[in-house]
Amino acid sequence: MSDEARDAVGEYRYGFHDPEVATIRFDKGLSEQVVRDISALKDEPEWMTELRVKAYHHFMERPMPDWGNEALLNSIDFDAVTYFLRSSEGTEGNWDDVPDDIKRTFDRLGIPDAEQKWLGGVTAQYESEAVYHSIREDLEEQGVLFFDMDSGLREHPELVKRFFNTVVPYTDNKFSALNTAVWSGGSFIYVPKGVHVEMPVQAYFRINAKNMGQFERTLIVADEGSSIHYVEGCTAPTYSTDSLHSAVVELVAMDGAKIRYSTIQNWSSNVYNLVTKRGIAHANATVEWVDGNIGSKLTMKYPAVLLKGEGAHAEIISVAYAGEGQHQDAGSKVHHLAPNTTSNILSKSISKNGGRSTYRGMLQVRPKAEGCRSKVVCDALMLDADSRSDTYPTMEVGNASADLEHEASVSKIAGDQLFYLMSRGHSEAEAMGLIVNGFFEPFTRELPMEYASELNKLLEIEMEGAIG
Amino acid sequence: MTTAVEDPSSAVHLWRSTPWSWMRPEEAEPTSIRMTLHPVDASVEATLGAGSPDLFPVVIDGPETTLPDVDDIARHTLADLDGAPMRLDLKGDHDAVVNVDLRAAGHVAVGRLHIACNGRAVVHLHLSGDAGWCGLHLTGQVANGCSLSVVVTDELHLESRVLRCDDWRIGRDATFETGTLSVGGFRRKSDLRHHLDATGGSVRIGLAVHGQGTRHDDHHVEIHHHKGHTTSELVANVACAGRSRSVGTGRLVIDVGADGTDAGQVFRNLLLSQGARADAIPELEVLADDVSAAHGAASASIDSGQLHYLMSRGLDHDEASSMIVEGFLADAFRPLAASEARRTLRDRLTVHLDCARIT
Repeated sequence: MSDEARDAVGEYRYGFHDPEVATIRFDKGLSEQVVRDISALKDEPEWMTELRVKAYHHFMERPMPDWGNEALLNSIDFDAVTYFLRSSEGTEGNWDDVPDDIKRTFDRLGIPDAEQKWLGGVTAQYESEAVYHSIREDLEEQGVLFFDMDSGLREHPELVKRFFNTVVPYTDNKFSALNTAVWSGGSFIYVPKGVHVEMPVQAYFRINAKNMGQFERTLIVADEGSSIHYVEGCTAPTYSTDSLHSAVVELVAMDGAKIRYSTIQNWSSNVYNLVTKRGIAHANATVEWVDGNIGSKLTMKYPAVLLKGEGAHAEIISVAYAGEGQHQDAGSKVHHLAPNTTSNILSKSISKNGGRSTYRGMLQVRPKAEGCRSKVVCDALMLDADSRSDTYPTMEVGNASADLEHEASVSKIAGDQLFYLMSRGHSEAEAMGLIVNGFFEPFTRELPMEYASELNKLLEIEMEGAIG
Repeated sequence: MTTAVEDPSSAVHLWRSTPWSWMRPEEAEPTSIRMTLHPVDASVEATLGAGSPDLFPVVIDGPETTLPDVDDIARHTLADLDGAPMRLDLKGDHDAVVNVDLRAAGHVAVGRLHIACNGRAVVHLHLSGDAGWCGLHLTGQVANGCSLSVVVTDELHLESRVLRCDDWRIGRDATFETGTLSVGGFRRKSDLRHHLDATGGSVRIGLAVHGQGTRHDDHHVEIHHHKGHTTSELVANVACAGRSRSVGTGRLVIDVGADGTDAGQVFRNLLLSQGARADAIPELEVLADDVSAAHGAASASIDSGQLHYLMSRGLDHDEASSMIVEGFLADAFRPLAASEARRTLRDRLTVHLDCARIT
């Protein structure tokens, strides 16, 4: 590893934790009263409280999934999780007003710096709620709504009610039910017709406390002919006990709209990351997921797109890095529901030091979806004999005119590639790092430059010790 | 009798697309599939006789392969129905094809056949009859350094339901090939498992499925590389017409330490009508790093360029389509090295498509 990279990111550099700040902290464990208390604290409309309660009961009744890494899933102790922790009295619009302890954390994560340089808006969430939120004035003037989810519900209840729970209903799976019951924070964005948000907007999610559950809920609606790029980053400290991150993200791209949702999740290795992300693309709309997964103990995340309108398009690019004690169970789902819809899926994974990476995909063409096209490519690299790579793609084709391709491969780094680079003066570790960066290049080139550079450095750190 | 097994729920992967309730035999006195060994060349040492139930395990043991009972409900059922287990012993090098007729009659017909190969042989198992429900369990052992090609064709009645389970074990430097032409019966579930137990073993599988009417065909193919320097290849070509449905699942498992494994599988689906449906689920589980493992799947309709080419040479639309389908399905047998096996399958395919065209 180069000194430059070490200086840039350090060892899992977000593993630090600051003293816990809590103005309100619920006791551990989940009950209907906890759900009602969260809703009451936020002074929510009745329909939301009732939805939360229904979701809570569904969560309690629904069994744990009987697929995936059942051993790890069943080891989650839901009674040991804190479901709500408020760190700040409110969401600040001025960075100077954020409590010093929290501000220090985000300063170390580089959020204010990034906002000044290249972002159209920022939400910073600490534990359960947003502590800082801002949006550029010109976007506000164009009618773009960018709130943390709690404020969005307060300020625009009808708009939220129209779309909330429609893309990912609480009955979808056990963890979407949990999120709907106890959600707190997240982002709400509405982009009016024809407005193009040129600069990305970002949300940053930070878990700081031990045994914390973070359940943010994000809803992005891009109205006809509009576009937006949303970037999400996540970190947590390294504790000996586990934390739970169970988010739900709902995207709605109306006719001709485009939403790109980029994620770099760099959780510490004690976080269960069980996320449901899904978008609906109406006629000629595009939904893109650019999804990077580094860290966590267990990630189960399958960004999905429902291509509901004719000519809609889905693009999913994901990378996963599974290191020691980690299982990255990621993938993608695309459902072609309408004619002449298209999709591209590219998945890359690396397993190292006993890590396990799994690709789980679903590509479905419904009978009425004439003339659909899709291509799926999954590549996996195994860096040692202790690791594991699985691929479980499913193709369901119900229309004869569909043209679909899927290809996947698992391999190790080729000896001749290493030899080539080493013969030009690189050490074995450097050569391997270069090859890994090249392997992930189709993903990093889709990221804003600052993110791509950070990801490359993170990978370099992760690759340390991959040799011998 | 074996221990009763609970019915698998629809969430169980193996039975997700074809629920067990669709395949369970009806309550009727089972009859045994009549197995006949055709006269063979005098040089061939092939004997067909009674086999032992021990040759048909209901749970396949091996590294990383002990499966929960619910996955083996079909094997339990076939064991319960018994079907007078038979055993085919093959010795020496056989150039000629060893033909075995499997005749299934009655409401419920069941057969279990174990093939032990200690040489080089090509076996053609031809399944026919008008059984309402037909269950077949094939097991086999290819001894170290030996080579076995098994061709399975069927002309079962169009109303038959067919349940087939295979368990093959391949020894050191041994080769096992199998080609299946799946065209008979109304509803079919096949659970085919192959175990490469020793270094140097090789498996090649060709599968051609032709769906017509409302035919439902579900093939689950597992290949386990327990040891390193083993190879496997699977090609599954499916052509679905009418309102037929095909499901193809390939589970490729490479165990810890099985370095030097070279494995590949390809699923291709050709959809010939609006109501047809074809699902492909090629799965990889790789626990060793120095391997080459790949899979691919594709689905499309008949290429209009190919149709145009043939029609411009005087064929009508149906003739041209049929020729393309025949070529497509025959290509599934490309991995098989034994030319006798390929020829047998292609001949059967041609006859089947000719009959399908006439009817």
